[in-house]
Amino acid sequence: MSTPSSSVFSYRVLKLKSSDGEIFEVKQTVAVQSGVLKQMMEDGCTEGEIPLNNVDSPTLAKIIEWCNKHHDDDVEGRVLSQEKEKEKEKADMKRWESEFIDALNRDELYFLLIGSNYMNIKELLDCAAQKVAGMVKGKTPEAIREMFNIQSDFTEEEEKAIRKENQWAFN
Amino acid sequence: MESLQKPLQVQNLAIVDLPPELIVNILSRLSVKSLCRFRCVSKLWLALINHPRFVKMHLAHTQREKLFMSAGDSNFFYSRKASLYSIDLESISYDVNKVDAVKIDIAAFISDLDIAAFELNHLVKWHTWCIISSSNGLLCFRLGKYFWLYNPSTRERKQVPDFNFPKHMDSGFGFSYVDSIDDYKLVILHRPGNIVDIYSLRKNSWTSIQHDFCIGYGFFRQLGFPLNGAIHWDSYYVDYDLNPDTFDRVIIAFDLVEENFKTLQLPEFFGLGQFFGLFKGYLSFFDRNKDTYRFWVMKEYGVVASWTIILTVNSPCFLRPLCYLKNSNTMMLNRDYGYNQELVFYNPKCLKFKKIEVNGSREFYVNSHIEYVESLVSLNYENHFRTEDKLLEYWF
Repeated sequence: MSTPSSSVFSYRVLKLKSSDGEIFEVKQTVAVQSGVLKQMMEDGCTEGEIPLNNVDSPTLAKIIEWCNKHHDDDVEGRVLSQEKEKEKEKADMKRWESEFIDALNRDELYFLLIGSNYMNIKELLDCAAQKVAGMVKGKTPEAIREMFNIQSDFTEEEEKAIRKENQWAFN
Repeated sequence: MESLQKPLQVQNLAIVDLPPELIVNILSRLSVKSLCRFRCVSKLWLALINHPRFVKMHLAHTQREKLFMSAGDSNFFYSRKASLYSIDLESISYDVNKVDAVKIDIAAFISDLDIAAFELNHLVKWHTWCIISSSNGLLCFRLGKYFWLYNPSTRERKQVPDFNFPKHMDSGFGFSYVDSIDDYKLVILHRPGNIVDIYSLRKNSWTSIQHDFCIGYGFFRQLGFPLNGAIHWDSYYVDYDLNPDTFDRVIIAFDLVEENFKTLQLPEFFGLGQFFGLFKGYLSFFDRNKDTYRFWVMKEYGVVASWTIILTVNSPCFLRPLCYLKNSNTMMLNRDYGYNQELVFYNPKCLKFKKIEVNGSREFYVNSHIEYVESLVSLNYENHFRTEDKLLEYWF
């Protein structure tokens, strides 16, 4: 049994449990970037371990790294920076984001997509989805099937017909 | 036997399958060309890419703007040879010195229109193309009495059924998507006879309505601009009984749902002034006093007092604004010296014009132009519902 005061205090850090059982402690002010965790905090049900069954520990570590980077601790205490500084910060953040995403292999990227979708972290989901979109855009249908584990269910004739209809898009 | 049939390259396969909602999210970010190619991936993907719900999502997600033009070099007036060009507006900004315009093969463009060859030759020789309007990536064209719709991104085309139009030149034209009834409408407003002919893409047929809107209105420019479910024409009003020699300029708006008219007032402008269609989603207008051009927008739809000057430009040459490049806050204009024409950029930050080469040429005359966005929107409504339900349940 925890006392009311200690429970209020413990809310400042959330304990996230990955699908493989690892516990990650995350500040509330960081975790609020996840729509799901934000809702739980508002509903007051973040005591104890929060199981995230769709997110394994390497992915959760990545997600937390992203959220920590995108969270600004001193946002209220800091004097508003100059326009130029703000632009530089924005550019730095963009660079950090693309380096972060580019360093992932395909499976890591997929897990990150699933995790950010599950935890509802819009900016991370957008960034990862844009990265995959960039990877698929120039590909052939065969390469796409391979990339997404898809078996073609067209008959030979059907595939011939649909290819003919869209032939111009192959040039 | 089994293992021979399936030479699985395990290392290339992803160890995880993405759920349908994430595939939808990723695909809604792609170009129309990629998506047309990916129709060949599987029946599921084909069903998704053709589905109106996905088409709408994609349209909301990727607003890639392009400019479609009927244009030519400066000999245009003598040769009457206008060609069709397309420019990708996203790929250009104030910083570039030249732009690439993709020339569209007119022969291929009109090859499957249902017009007798001799008539077509005649039309192409003596009439210039008229691009009426664009809406959700669909363009509406007119050549003589023929109309057709075209999606340049998917290359889908559809000829509008023939209709027995009154034979006169005093008509206004407009084309627009109407959200509340999920339909596209082409409108021909005939001044004599108080008749409006309306083509519905959904029904693929024409209807005519008679109205009692005042006959004193005529068109300053025949092409109308779509906004808020209505088509807007730059027009004038003459009171033939009281004051037949003077006219007042107004905007006539025809509501595509209610199928009725209203008028909107223009700002207090110099000289003749011109309607410039839509600018950043507002009705806009430009006028000229000596060498000064002013660009107006109607910030609050229908409110006369909300007409605001957003840009003032000085130029001794005749200017015609073509479009606005969002990425660099730049206007693209056609500048006319009388003997030649060229494309120029104007940026309010730099306060000067910059000449732009088009396909390596300095001289370029734009006859008519239209901005459009890339879209998957299909011209065949029956296409929209041909997919089996179970394939759609998978995605949505």
